[in-house]
Amino acid sequence: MGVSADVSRGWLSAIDASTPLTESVCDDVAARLDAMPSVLRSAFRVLDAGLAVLPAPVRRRAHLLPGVGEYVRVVHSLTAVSYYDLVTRDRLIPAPRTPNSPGVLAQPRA
Amino acid sequence: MRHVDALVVGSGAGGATTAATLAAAGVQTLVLEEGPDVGPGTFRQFSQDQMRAQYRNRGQLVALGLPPITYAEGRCVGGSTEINSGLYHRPSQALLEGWTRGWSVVDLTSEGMGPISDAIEHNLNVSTFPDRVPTASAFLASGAQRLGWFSTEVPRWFDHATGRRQSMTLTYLAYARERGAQIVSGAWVRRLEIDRGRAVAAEVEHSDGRVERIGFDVVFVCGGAVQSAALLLRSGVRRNVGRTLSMHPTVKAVAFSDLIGSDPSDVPVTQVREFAPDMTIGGSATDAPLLALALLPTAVGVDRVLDFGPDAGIYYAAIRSSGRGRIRVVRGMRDPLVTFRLPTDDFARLQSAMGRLLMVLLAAGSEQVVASVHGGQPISSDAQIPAEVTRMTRRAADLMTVHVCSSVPMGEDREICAVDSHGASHEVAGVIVNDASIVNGAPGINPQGTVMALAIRNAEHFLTQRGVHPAAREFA
Repeated sequence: MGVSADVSRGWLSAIDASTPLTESVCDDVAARLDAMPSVLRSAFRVLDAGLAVLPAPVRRRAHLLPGVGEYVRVVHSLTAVSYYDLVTRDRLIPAPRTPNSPGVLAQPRA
Repeated sequence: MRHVDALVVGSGAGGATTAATLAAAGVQTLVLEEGPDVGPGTFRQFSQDQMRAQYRNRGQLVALGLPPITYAEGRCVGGSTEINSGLYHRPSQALLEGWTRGWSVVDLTSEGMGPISDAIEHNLNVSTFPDRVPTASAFLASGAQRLGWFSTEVPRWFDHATGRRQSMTLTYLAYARERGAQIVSGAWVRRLEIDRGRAVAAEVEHSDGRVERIGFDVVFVCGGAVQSAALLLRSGVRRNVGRTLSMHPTVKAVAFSDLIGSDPSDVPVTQVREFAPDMTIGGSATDAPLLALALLPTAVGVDRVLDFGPDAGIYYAAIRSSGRGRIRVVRGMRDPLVTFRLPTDDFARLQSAMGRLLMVLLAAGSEQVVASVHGGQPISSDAQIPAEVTRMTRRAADLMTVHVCSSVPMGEDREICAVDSHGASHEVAGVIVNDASIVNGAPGINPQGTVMALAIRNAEHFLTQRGVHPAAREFA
């Protein structure tokens, strides 16, 4: 899944993930795509192969095509879940709150 | 070809209780489970490791439609009972009466079902927390209390003394094994062979690649609402099969407050049932990957998922939809194609459900709440709720469900039902469907208590029809 790996890498670079972690996540995302139900898996493979042959400038705008935006959204979801699973694998997140730890409020991204 | 008296396809809530009922009465019983045999407690509940090992397609199932609805199914010995919260409701009188009226189901009363539910509750130690509920659940209850809405702790199958969930592997499957049932994991039933209107054998693909034919006198199809319908369709049993899939479409929101105290090992048990059975609000498991999934489409994003700690909690609102889904088998594809059409009225009720979810979370003391929709903004007052509800269009919504049912409707009306009032196929002899497929319509409650009670009732009916006396329902 060449294009899915590019999509994952792009997402991971935006959050400054380390290189080894990026490769692990890309592998895991590929495994997750392989585990999709048959019909979706086949459709995604066709989309991925189609995107792979497009010139890079066209591919960057391809999310506007029917189905491609959904595919990218799925890859982003799988990447996010995989990333946060890997970085929290050895500890339970959220960690226990201590009396002095400050609360954190959600803020919309700039 | 080996031959058994009774073949049970699937080992979840329906299959396990069916197998235990048959084996206890002396029927030679073979249970085939497609997934692996994973010991209870091997993985943390709702963890990605558990999804990899025990969920179908790693928990990445989707019913296509606008919007698409993701759902989850267990694929392991014990089925979904190994992976869910274990929340338990017995079927209500209103639910059973509705089936009698709407689907011509006979011999189904709360008087008849009550003793079966009593036995299930005894065998599974259905109970509430002995002391107090987890803080994330108490948080939701406090919001409901402030609004004057009824909320309650839903009991679940759990042994509080040992801290072990009383899933099927520890209860009904263990009981079935003790009484002689054989349980084979990694065995997928490709199709049933039908000879002159009667199912006679199953073509089984084992995980090591072996293909085997197994003959039987009767087959109980208990693979869950999607897989059971798919198996019937692959076997050429089509009338009224796979056309009436029902579910509880669900929206999510994330609440932020230092009162929540999320703990990934908690099981949320509080449900706001002020609007039940048509709408229910409850808590979801919260850990970093699940929080990322809930926040990803929102304006908050996932950059600070690790910073929120126990101050973030995921909550849901589910509706009882009148929509219908389809299950189709696609040539050359192992997995069925599932679609669901959400009616306009139901989408409006989902928007209303989102509004009430945000309202109760703010009433509970959330400093902020975020609707898990595309572009969802963090809000901190009731006045901001309408804008977030309006934001939830069909394209912006992010829906999920965990309860799929009603794909093989049960009743005497052959125009709309695929099986009779006790699960026996109207079309083919020797086939009894005994799982969530026969839970007619979305019940508005966690359906597994209903599935188990129906499965035991139908298995006992099968025995009685053959002059076999069912054994005691309660485990010794």
